[in-house]
Formats: sequence, structure tokens, C-alpha cells
Amino acid sequence: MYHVVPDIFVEKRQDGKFLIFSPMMGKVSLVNAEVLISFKSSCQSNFKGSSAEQTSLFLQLGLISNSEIAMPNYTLPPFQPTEVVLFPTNECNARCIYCYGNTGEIEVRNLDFGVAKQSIDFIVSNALIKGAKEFSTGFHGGGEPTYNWELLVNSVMYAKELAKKTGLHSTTSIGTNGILGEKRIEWIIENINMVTLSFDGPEDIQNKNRPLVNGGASFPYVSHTARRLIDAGTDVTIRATITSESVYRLEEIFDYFVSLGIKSMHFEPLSECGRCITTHQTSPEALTFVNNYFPLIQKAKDKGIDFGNSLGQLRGIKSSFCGASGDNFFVTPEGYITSCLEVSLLSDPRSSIFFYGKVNTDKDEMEIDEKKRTLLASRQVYNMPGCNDCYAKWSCAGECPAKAESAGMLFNVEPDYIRCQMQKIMVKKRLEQSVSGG
Amino acid sequence: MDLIRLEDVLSQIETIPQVPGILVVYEVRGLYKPIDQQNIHDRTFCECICNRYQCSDKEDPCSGHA
Repeated sequence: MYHVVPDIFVEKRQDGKFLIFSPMMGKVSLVNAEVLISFKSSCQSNFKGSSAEQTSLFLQLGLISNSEIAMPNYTLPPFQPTEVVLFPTNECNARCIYCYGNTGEIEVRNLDFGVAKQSIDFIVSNALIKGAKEFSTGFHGGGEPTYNWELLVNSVMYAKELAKKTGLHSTTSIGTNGILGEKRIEWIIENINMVTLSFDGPEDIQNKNRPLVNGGASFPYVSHTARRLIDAGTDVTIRATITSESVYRLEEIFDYFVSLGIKSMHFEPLSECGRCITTHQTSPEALTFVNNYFPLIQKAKDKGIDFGNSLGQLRGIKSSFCGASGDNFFVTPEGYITSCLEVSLLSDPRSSIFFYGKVNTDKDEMEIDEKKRTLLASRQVYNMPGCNDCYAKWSCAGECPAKAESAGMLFNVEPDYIRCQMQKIMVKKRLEQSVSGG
Repeated sequence: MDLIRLEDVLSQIETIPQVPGILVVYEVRGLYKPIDQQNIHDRTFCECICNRYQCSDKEDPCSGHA
């Protein structure tokens, strides 16, 4: 008994060949029309008249399966995270021209250590209950996490202390702009396992995009931090934001990071939000970004560099874009629990969607709004009608929920949405490259 | 032209003779494991801002990005 695999997509190419993509089976192929004619007649006869060669071919192409495909169906687990990301502050020592957190324009809020401590206690307790071997504490947020240095240090030390007491392994990570003094760099090298460095590339780009609070150049600081981290062997990833201006210099940016010795890079097209409204920074045009980005994939492969972004990844099936529809446990400076790094302030209208709880230090408990968790978890690509006929659906998985919410499309992304276009172009290019010896 | 659903393509080739000629597969590639061999867990973190794309189950990570 054979079953036709659901969600197969086909393109008739200009050369008359047909490109077939079967996301469920992870297959891409290039065939002639006769294969599809044969498949159609086999389907009509329920494969009873098909030869062994035909069915073998259809299996190989991912068109049919020996058993019925169980489609993804996400079940929200009980709230027992073993990872937390703390947002120590919404203040920053930089004024990035596209800052999503609008730092410097909002009331400064700093995370209370009691909230951080309780959050770490919570994940450690969960890890013990679940029999996990480790727990993870990260630092990120709308501001620069190192700006609330005392909280950062105290939290890491507390996590280490708990790891020692419980026998669990503690891992730490941070997303930082790298504007740091020598002593702080040393401390990070000694105490943080994974560093994501926000860094846009060569001097003129970095200084324009990510100036200091006084408008000064951040490049000397950040390039120094990058070199120090690399020399020390820290696990460091560059996270570069690509604007409509810098998109034409992607290779130069890439080469610059390679010259620094970077082994992991993430180039993300700018998403127009936050300070972009006043600085008029714009996203790169979809095709321009993809055309400039794509040649670097092979270059990165050749150099052994981990290179990516949130667009068009063909790594397997997923039904939600990220952990915002899952188990993300991020604690804002005000003690709220959010599922999205981009939504860190109560004043952000999107907080009504992404804030699903609060760390209550008075009662020593996590106040969780299960209705909101359930609503967020329902944002799965198979529940989004606008994605139904899209070939990128199982890799894009409904796109970034925070950005979609900003565009008024949280639960039904429309095909002309710019991020959708980028996702589709990237997936298609990856498919084409896969069947052209790439 | 974009990729469209197989059903729609098949409906468009209605007029082509029912007896097929030689079946030619120019190329076939496996991109990742089929769904029945994948471990699909909850993905944590953020794809856009923090690229620490991780699987919530570290003991048995998702095969797609393990």
C-alpha cells in the first residue's frame, strides 16, 4: 500500500524540466514530464498497475511513502523551561540607527536581582524535576546586557553556585554590542560560554549603523572585543544587520569578518521597526538581499564557516518559526515573561500578545497566563491559511511572529509580505542550487 | 515561475498522452531526513535577533539541525 506524500510542490522550468520539492521527505529532484504523467496515471489506478520500477522511482523522489505521513501537530508542553534569557536593562551604550528597542528614548528599567535569582531557581528546579543534565542562562534584551554589569555578574555567579550545589551543568550565553572595557572582556572570556556579537562589519558601516551614545565611533571597541574573544577561543558568533545601503557590500562584510578569524556569522536583513521610523532606515529589497547573500553560502562552506540567517533554511521540517510559539522563557527588565526577544517593553503594543506572565517575587511564584501561552502555541504554519499553498511553509513556518504582528498579520501572513518574499526566494534558490550540483 | 502544488501541475498536464515515454530523472537530492526519521522538538530562542538556534531537547536534538 502506497500513500501519496502531502505538500509536494513543482515548478516547470524554462528548459522544460520539472523541479519537484517534497518537504516532508526532504527531497528535491529534476525530472522530465513523463515522470509526472506516469505518476498521475499511477495515482489514478491507486498504484495497482504500476511497475516495481515506477514505484521505486516515486519512492526515491519522495512522491509516495510506504506508510501514511504523520503531519506535524504541536502539543504545548507544561511550563517547565530549563533555559532562561534575562534582559538586564533597556539602556544601552550605543544608539544603533535601527534599534528595535528604541534605547535612549524610553524610561530606563533595570532588572532586579531578586527576579533574576528566582528565574534561575525556577529553571534549575525544572531541570532537576525533568532529570535534565544542564540548565542555561542567557543575557540579551532591548538594551545592552553588560550595561547592568552588577546584575550580569551576580546572575552568572548565582547560576554557577547552583550548578555546583545540584551537580547540573550550567551554560551561559550573551548577546552584546561589544562596546566593552578590557576588564569586562576578560570577565566574559572567563565566565560566558557563547557570545553573540552585534557587529555590522567594516569601520564606516559599523560607525554609521551602531554609533556610541555621543555619536562617536564604536568600531575601535567592537573590533577589539572581537579580536580578544577570538584569540581567547571563545565561542563567538557575529550578528550583522544588513540595511538597504550595506546590502551591496555583503561580500566585503563577510571578508572582513573572515579576516578577523570569525567562524560563525549571521547576516540578517533589517526589519523596519523601532528607531527606523525616525532614522528612515529601510530593509534591503528582497531580491537584492538574496542575490548578494547567496554566493556567500558556498564561500562560507569552502572556508568552513557557519553562515546563516532566519531565511529559507532547509534544515528539516518545522511548524513554527521560533520558540516564540513554544517554550521561550525570557524575562524583561520589568519582570514580565515574554516569548520574544524583540518585545521587551510593556509599552510595546505587541506585549499584549507576547507577554504571557510575570515573575512574582512577593509570592515566590511564576504567574503564567496559560490562555496566552496556548494562543501563541497555536501559531503553527498548518493553522495559517495564507501559508497553505506555499512551498516554503515547512522551512519558514509562518515567519517571525513579532514582525508579522507589526504588519498586522500575526495569524495569517499574506504572500506579498516582504519577509515572505525573501523566504520564498531563498528556498527556491537553495532548491535550484541543490539540483545543479551545488 | 514559482513552485506550485503537485495537484495543480498534474491537472494541467491532462492533455498529455496517457502512455508515458521514457522516465528521466536528471537529478535527485536528499536535503534532510524524511519526517518520519526526524526528531521534531520545540525550537527555542529566536531566529532573527539571537541566532542561537537550539533544540529544546539536547539529549536527542532535532535531526534537522543537529
